[in-house]
Amino acid sequence: MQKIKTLYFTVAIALVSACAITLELALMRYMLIAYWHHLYYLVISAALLGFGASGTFLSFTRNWIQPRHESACWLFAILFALTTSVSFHLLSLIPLNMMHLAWNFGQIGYLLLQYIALFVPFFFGACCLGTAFIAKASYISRLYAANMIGSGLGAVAAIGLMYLFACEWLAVVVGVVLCVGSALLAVNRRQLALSTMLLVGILIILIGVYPPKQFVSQYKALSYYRQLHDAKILAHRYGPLGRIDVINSNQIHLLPGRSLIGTKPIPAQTAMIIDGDSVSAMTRFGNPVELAAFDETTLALPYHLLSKPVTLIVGAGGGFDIGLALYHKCSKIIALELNQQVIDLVRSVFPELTGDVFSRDSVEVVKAEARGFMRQTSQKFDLIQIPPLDSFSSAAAGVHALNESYLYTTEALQLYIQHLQPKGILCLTRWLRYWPERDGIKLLATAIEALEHEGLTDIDSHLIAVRSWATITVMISPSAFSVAQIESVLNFCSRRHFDLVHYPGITSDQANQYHVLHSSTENFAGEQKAVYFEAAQQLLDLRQRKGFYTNHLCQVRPATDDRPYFHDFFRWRSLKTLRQLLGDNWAPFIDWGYLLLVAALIQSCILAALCIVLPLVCLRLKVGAKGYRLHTLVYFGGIGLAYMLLEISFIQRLALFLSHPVATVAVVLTGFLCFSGLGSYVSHRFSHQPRRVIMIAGVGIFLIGIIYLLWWDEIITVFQPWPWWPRCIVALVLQAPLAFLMGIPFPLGLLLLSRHAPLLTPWAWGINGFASVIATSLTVCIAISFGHSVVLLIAIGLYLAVAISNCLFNPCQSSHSADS
Amino acid sequence: MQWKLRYKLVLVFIWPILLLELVFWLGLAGCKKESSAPSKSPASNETKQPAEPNTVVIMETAGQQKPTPGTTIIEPNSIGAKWSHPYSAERLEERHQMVRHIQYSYGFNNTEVLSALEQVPRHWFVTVQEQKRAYADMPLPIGHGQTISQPFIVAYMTGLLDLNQNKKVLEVGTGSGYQAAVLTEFTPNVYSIEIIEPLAQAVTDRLEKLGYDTIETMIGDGYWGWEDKGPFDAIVVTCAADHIPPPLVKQLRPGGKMCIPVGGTFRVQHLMLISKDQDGKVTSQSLMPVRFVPLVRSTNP
Repeated sequence: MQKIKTLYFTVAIALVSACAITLELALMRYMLIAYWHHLYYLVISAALLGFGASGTFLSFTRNWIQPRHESACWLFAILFALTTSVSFHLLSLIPLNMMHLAWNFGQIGYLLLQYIALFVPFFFGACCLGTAFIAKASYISRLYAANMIGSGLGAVAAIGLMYLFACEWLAVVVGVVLCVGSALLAVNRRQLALSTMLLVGILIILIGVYPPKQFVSQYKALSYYRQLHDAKILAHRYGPLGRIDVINSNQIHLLPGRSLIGTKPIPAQTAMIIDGDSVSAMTRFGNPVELAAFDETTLALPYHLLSKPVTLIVGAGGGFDIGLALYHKCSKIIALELNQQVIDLVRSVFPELTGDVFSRDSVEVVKAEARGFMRQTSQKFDLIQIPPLDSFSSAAAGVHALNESYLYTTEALQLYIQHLQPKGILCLTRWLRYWPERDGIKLLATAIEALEHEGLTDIDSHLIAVRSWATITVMISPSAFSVAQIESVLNFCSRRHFDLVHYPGITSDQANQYHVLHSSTENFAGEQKAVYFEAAQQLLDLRQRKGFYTNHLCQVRPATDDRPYFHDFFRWRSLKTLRQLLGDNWAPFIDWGYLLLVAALIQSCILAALCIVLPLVCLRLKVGAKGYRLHTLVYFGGIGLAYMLLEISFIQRLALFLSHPVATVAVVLTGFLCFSGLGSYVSHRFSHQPRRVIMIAGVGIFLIGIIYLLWWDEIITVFQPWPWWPRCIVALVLQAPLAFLMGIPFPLGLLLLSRHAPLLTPWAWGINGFASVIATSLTVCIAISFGHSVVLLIAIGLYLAVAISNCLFNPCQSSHSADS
Repeated sequence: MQWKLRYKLVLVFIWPILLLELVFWLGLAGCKKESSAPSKSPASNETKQPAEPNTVVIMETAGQQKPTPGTTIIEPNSIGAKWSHPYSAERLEERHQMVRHIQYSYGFNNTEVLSALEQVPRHWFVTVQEQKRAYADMPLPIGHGQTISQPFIVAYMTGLLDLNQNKKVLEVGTGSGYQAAVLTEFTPNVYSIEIIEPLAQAVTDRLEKLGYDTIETMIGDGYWGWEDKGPFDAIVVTCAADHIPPPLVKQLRPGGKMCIPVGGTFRVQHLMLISKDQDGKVTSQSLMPVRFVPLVRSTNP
């Protein structure tokens, strides 16, 4: 009977852990659709703060909870279920308006309420887990294993469920599962009855009477398009890669950075909106000749230099770029699209709205990510076309500042160049932002450095760049551009009034003719300045390049695979200059993503410091084990930080290997958590000599980390050509030894603490939670500034340091006796 | 005994929930109070913020009311316009301060434009929630994801258009109607198109009630311009688009100017000024309004 009870308890803990991570992922998607990426960190921070605060709470209530821990676990699980089920309702009721935050301080209150609504479910969930860990210290290893494995499986389940349910419904699903979990935790009939009643209540009220709704900010494109009087929502899809809405209206006209003197009509268009903001056009046409208007964009330039090229298009989307390639009669078009739902919508659901563009004779649509596809294929192309994959408005608002992008790194461009025919062209187009000019300049810098890394010497003759008022198109080729091609460029630009940025032999008087730019320190009537032309000249000159990077107001050095933040332009030292130059109007000219991340980090540190110090002050009078406080702080803070740093670093390392962002997150979370769970489970066999085992684990993590740091690329290259599923298994195998060892320090540390200073165990749980909160924002901050390799180095260094400090720590004789 | 302890346990957890609930309801109550305070309009459409998507919500503005009995209607203004362009002495000092701020902070010295801004009561076009901030130099929300532009940007754009009473102006994106009202200070030939129906209805009613008789408004897709009324000497486009609509360029008279603010939802980062010369050649410029700042600082440290 006792065995069954223990089994139920363990399963319930696994369920609660799984639900916590599913809820976190669901909330992240909800906030992303409702607002923007910026609130991603709010969810992560609130979730982990819930875990940290539960430790503080349990520190105070430990004596009270300990004797009735089973009932307390049930109660926390029930509260977790209840608050989870209504969390999305509460969030949609709070009238937060992010855009007003800058001047309407009342909105800060709403932001706080959102934070509380996000925090409360996680707090109860963490209290349930924390109570179990503290009360059942004797089999902590098994419980911690259940927690880890449950979390790992929860991550996979969340991603699977996102295909079946819209994210607002996931909260209800999680609530129902939690009710089952709480029923397993019930110790008497009354509790069982209450769990069942809550389950029935959730099913009746939330599904039948008051279903959850997805809020979408009125400032997002989806809200705008839905307001058009003839707007019809034709389709709606959801999945982990994004929510897709297809909206039809006669008032949709999309043509990126079209020439100001363009006159050709645009055929009827339908908008495909991803995550409420990123708009892709679906254009109805029969004969590609009807798409003549597409030829009035800078994206059309390479087709005027090549004859019927074999073309690779990165990001098929609604079919705009395929339409352009069809208009120019490309002999073969291969278009890559990562999202299967987008492919299904364009090909199968709305072929009549898209000119059946995916099924045309010369078109082949491949479900793949660009880098992964390139590594798998040996085919060479005449043209590789990389259009701007984000929308005009989101690019202008700089919402992607913290997003990693492996599409625009120097290594990526080198890979594209290697897949070009000798006379082939790589064509990249980005949206332009003005003052300080940045996106276009970074693209130019990346192209130039990629050509250099490929061993080309006369870079000037391999580069052509033009711009409209809204876009810049950069073309590079392994061969020097011919005179005839240059002639075509000049004709193309003069007919469309596009400005020349660079071509072999350009003179200063040829630049800045149609969309005129001015020097940034003079008023608009002042001197004209060919900003992009001058930037290209300085970047091409090795002697000037370094100074150009240093003196520019934005971070315009090329992104690399180690620091894949193409969209991040923030520079601390420019803040002062911007404020001096722009006065009170400085705010819209900087990318807020990084500053918000730093704000989140500072806020996490303050909250963590408060909640960590508070119980310490109160417990000081009671706790006898004086020397353990600092040690507990260092040990559990260190492993909390290091675990998250390593996990996030691995997501980055495997993103390129697995070539699918969602699959990578699923594989890493599952692998890390499950193998750590296994490590934790096995660790109880060594409970008689915990210090030694922790030391072995620390050294092991450090050594494996060093091996990965030095030879990761070589290891990956061996398996890169393998098919996708075997690569997933390789990814899991690569994680396994590291994750297994990472699962050992926490339960053994907690076991040691429960022997020597049991009153500090809830505090340790809290510290671990807070360290995780800090680590989420800290990782991105470090990665942006120093790269992911440094993140990995810090993480393994921390594990080693923690293991050594634990080994050296010897406050009293009793600990010796416990170890020996 | 066990029940007693459980009772205590429940009590421990119930207070944070109650506190949370209290804070939540206080927040909601605060929101309702704020939104209901100055609402006396006969049209009294329910004010709600933020607007739920797919819900027709009209952000009620003070301008939906007839000027209150204490309001003095004075005309004409300093430009000497002979057409209908209402004026009120309400909050005149605030308007004066706003104009002085634009003049001294940005070094903007176009006296005609400054005078026009001083004439138009901005608070008539601002929602009841934002009345306090009506004369602050900031953009303000008007519902439906739209905004009323920052006063300085309105001034700067108006100045760029080089207007007089013989010129014909098209505004694409009527929004609150404030920009149209400012343009009316220069010319009686102001035409304005709004795509979002509820917003267009509200602004048409507002302009009519306030007495802006010369402004012609239309509900429709501004992409196509207003061919029957064209060509125009000046066009102001206040909606973000990934390309400039060719019909608008076509409807711009030779020698005319088109001005488009570009940037995030609330703040203008740069202005696109499109000029068509007498030969029909079209050129554009990216203008940085804030470049005035360092110049001002160098002269007025």
